[in-house]
Amino acid sequence: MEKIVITPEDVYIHLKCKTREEVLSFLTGRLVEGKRVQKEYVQAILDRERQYPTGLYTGDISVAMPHADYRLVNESAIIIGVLDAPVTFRQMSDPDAEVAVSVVILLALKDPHGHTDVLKRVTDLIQEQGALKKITEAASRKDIYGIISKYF
Amino acid sequence: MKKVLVACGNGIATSTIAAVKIREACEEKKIPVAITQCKILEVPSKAEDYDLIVTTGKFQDPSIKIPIFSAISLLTGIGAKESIEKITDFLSK
Repeated sequence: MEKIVITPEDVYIHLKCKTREEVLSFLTGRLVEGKRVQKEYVQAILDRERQYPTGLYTGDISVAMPHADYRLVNESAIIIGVLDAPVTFRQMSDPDAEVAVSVVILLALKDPHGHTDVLKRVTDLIQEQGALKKITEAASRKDIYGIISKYF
Repeated sequence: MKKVLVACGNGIATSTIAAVKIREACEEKKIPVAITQCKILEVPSKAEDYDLIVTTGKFQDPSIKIPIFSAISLLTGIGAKESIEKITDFLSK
């Protein structure tokens, strides 16, 4: 199975986005630039977030895990955005409830039921408040990469 | 062997995580189980072939007579232990 490699360049910090649409468009745009997804992935992510939101209340530092149609993915990738101020997402478990999200982990997966190893590691990361807090406090993408590379 | 249908928004990623967590817990407790993933939209048409439905998103359908458990805690970790126990208890009966 195709291995997913995360590099420091896949981490974006100090994002000043005010809305979830802004942060989703920004991160997906970076994947389009790198030709890792087709340009339709941007709209697919926005549509999917409306229909099935991906905000997860994980504690003081909450996360969102947007992802969309695998058929629009050229090369599997995980891209991470850290917001200067939390942005409101709707919750996966209850779209009527909101959650203030500080870290967005955007997935572009080619294999719909695969990538179990990397998904397990993403889950380990989002369940670890200490690591998430360090990510939000990190000064550089390299520092963040240092934290997440323990998981990936 | 009980059959579990794990559903999320579009049948990728989050249902994979939930399926892996359930499979690992069942292996640990030696509970035989067959797990299938699907999209939430597909649940009503597939439900009757299964013993349990687990979803990561909000899902309610009064016409479905088998139990529906939420798996959100398997993602967030908050209450995950209790959820896994509830699922493995059900599957071991």
